[in-house]
Amino acid sequence: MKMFWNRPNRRVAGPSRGTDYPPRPDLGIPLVKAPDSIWNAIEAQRARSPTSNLASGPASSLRWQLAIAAVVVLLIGAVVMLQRYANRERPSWNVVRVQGTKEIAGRLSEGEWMDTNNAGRARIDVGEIGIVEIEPNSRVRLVAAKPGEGRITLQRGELSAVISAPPRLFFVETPSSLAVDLGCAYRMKTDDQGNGQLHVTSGWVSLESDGHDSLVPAGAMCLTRRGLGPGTPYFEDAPAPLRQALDAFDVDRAQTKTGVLDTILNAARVRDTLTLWHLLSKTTGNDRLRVFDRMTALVPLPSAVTRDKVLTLDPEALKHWREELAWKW
Amino acid sequence: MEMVTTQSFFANRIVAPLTIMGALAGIISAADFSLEIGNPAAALVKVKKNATLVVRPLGCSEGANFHIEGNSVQASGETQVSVPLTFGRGGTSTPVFAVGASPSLGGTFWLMVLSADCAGSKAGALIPIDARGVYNRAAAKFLNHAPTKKEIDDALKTLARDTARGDSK
Repeated sequence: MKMFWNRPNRRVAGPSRGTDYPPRPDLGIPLVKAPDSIWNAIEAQRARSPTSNLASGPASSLRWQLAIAAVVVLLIGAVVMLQRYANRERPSWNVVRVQGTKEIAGRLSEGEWMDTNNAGRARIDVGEIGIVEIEPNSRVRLVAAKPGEGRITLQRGELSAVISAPPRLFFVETPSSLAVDLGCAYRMKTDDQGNGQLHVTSGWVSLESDGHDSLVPAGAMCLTRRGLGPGTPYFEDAPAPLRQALDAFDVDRAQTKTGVLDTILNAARVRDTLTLWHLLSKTTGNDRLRVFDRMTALVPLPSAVTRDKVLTLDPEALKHWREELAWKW
Repeated sequence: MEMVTTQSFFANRIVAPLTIMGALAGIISAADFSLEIGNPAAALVKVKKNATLVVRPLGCSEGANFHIEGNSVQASGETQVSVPLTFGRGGTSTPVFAVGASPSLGGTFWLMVLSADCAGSKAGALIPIDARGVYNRAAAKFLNHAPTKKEIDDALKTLARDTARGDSK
């Protein structure tokens, strides 16, 4: 025996409630009328239930719509707040993109990349401490824009930086080295292979990689190679033989035994003591002694600096000598 | 009478020789007075970051008496523009001065004109600076007097000629 707990069936089965519905097909199942007491109890229960009105009727539908609308509004508000919060947490610098004669101002946030095409340039305000100009066909990323640290990556292309801030506040990362601003104007290039060039026009820059530093003063330049790091700096007007030999020395120091170091020492002028000073820490034994001898032949050793301290690479002695040598650069 | 005699004694035997010795010492100390220029790396951290170069006196033992001034000078045809340089004392024992950067007069080069004094002795320098703000030591002239108008004009002409030839660097 089956019972049908729906009202139409009941109505079909109950002639006293009216028979407006078409008769059910005969499925061979006997229909049994539910007792009226059951339906009355159900009706009474529904009337008493406080939630019964939510399930149906126009008022119930309106409440659901309002609830959904409120949730949507809250979600939108949350998204907007999150975006604003995220923007506050990611410092940024002002950028002006220059395309021909057209200039477009915008912002570059930490973590963002910026590309210039073959006719495009960009000018970045490095907070309040300077300006970086991005040349065409360059790709840069803003790594840090904090008050105590400005750092960008030059993945490819060329930039010029003019910085007026205390030393070691602004950094340019390249695939082969890190340029640390000691003040204050320089040009940095990086090719697709990650090799680069640094030209300093004012103050000086420290080019660093894996604990090796090359100090590059105004008027000097330094090559940097992927896998090898910064090379030995030299003045841009250095004699061609010195530059060529230095290139060979930086790529393969074993060549010092085949006369490369001789060429460098013979070609060095007074202001090339910049290069020789760096070679002191890149040579050992008799080669270091030869570099020292050539330097003292070009510029007398200051009284406060001793031969032994230089040959043992005493940091204070080397620093003092470098500062004194710089009067000849 | 006795007083007059004592005053004469001090004037003739002590004060006068001391005065002469002092003057001689000043002259001797500044006898070989000259200027030396260097890369700002020579006085790292002590100089203004935008210094074009640093300059110090040689043969001037009386640092407190050392005085220096100068201009950046640029010529365009017959027109000559001159702007005072700014200096800053860098060291404590030896006077080291950082020299301000280009006056941005435009053009491709300018001339740094320095005049210095040490206990009455004079020294000067004429230093070419290229468009990037890098000084040309090889072309610099160091003088035992303040540069004259003619020396400045001649240096500018030489600089213009060298620049036209492309070897100003």
